[in-house]
Amino acid sequence: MEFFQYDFIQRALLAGIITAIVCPVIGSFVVVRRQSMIGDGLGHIAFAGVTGGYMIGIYPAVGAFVLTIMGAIGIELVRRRHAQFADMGLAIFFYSGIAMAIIFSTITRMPSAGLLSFLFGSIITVSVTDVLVIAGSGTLVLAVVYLLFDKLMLITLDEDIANVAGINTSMINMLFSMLTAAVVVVGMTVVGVLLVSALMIIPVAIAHLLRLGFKATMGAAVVFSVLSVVVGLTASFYLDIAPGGTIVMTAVLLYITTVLTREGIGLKARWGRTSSLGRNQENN
Amino acid sequence: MFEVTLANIDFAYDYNVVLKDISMTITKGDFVAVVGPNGAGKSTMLKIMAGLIKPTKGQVSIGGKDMSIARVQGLIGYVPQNYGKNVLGFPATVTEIVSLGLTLSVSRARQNQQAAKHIVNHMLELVGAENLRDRRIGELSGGQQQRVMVAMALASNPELLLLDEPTSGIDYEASARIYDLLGTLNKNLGITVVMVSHDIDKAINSANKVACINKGLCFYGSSQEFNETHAQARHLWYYAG
Repeated sequence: MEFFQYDFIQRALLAGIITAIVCPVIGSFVVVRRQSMIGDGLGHIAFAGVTGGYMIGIYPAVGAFVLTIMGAIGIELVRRRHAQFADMGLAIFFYSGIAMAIIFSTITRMPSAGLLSFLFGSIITVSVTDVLVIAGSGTLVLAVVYLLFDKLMLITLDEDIANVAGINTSMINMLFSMLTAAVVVVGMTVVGVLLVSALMIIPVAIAHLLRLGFKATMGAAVVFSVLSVVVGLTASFYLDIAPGGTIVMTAVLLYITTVLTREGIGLKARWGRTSSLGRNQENN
Repeated sequence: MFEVTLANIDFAYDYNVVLKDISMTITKGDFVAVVGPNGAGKSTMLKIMAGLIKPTKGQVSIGGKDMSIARVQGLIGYVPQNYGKNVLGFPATVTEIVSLGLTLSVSRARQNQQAAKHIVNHMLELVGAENLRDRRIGELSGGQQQRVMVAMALASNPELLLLDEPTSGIDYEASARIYDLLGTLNKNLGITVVMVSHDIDKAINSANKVACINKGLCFYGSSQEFNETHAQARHLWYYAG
């Protein structure tokens, strides 16, 4: 295929597929912890970090990394103190991120093209270094999740049970928040906030519809995520439209298709039961 | 000798006294029903025993060890009251949930998949949930979920099993099955059980000891003594704190 012959497409596919594997792995825990907006929240804090870094004259990605890690720690501390209002804490950080980003960007007169690339991504322009950075950080995130898998799952199910089992829930929760922040920052600089946040949640939402176990749900989410990236990127190339948005819309279409298929199967089963009940009544 | 000792426990928050001067010793193999009116501090006492909250005053020791050591060694299995809010949308099968019980205390068995599978199957058989192993936890009834949560707590091979209102929101028959199950685990496996319950009659039938709490400890002794001596005045304990 002509599509795969271009170097920039090969790099984009590689970066996209790594992101597509890492994001739903983190997202599988995030969704059940009812923190689906954390990707967006951290993304906007990272956005403030980019503009802040530009303002004080450091590499914007470094500014994003520092501020996002601080934001992740803050979100976790608020969640721990006010567990029943965890989403409220997230919203406060989200709005603070946008507000700071606007203030910093107007002070520095940062070019809007640069800002947009962080928001909506520029997967087509990823360099070999970008691919290496995203592969390295992705491997690190997957290794930590693999090592802490059972503990993370138990904490996600019930923090009290995990505490009684002697698990240091505070430390693991903090580590998980920081991992999420790292995924958002690295993903944002390569493929944009929109794609990272969306791939963290939508494939997991599709997998939930299949009513599988936890590991199987995570596996299915990764498959849907990779499928969205490959199909979305291919479609964006041939239709000459924005790749980030196309990948996200591919995932959304997969979600809608899965919902409709499930509903269709349910309707067919119910209709089958009703007609056989009717036939039995007629026979009696 | 395995003993759970609560010594002069006080607990208060924002100047509200929740527990006052609770002292009791639970010996190995006891099945203690903690009863009392709403807001009496029953669940708070259980959480203090589980090490989830620190008492304002006093100490809890388990088998002569400090709470934190007992927790790390996996001596305590805990089934909270309101796990249901998490379980409802939790995408995990019964087998996956029970396997989580192996997370700490039998890490060697965890590494050996065959041994882990055997333990999980055995726990499911113990609680009569072997036919549910591939079902998702959120799709089960309240009684079935409760049995699965007990199986998860048992998988860590605890010396002490703490349960907070294990029959709340469960119908009569399912409640009876839970009480039977806990009685069997206590008698056959020798696991020490402490169970908070609002259902005083059923609880004291299953338990061999009763702790009646209303901020203070109103009564602590055998369920037979509680039944005989305090049968008529039982309701008064509720208001005696």
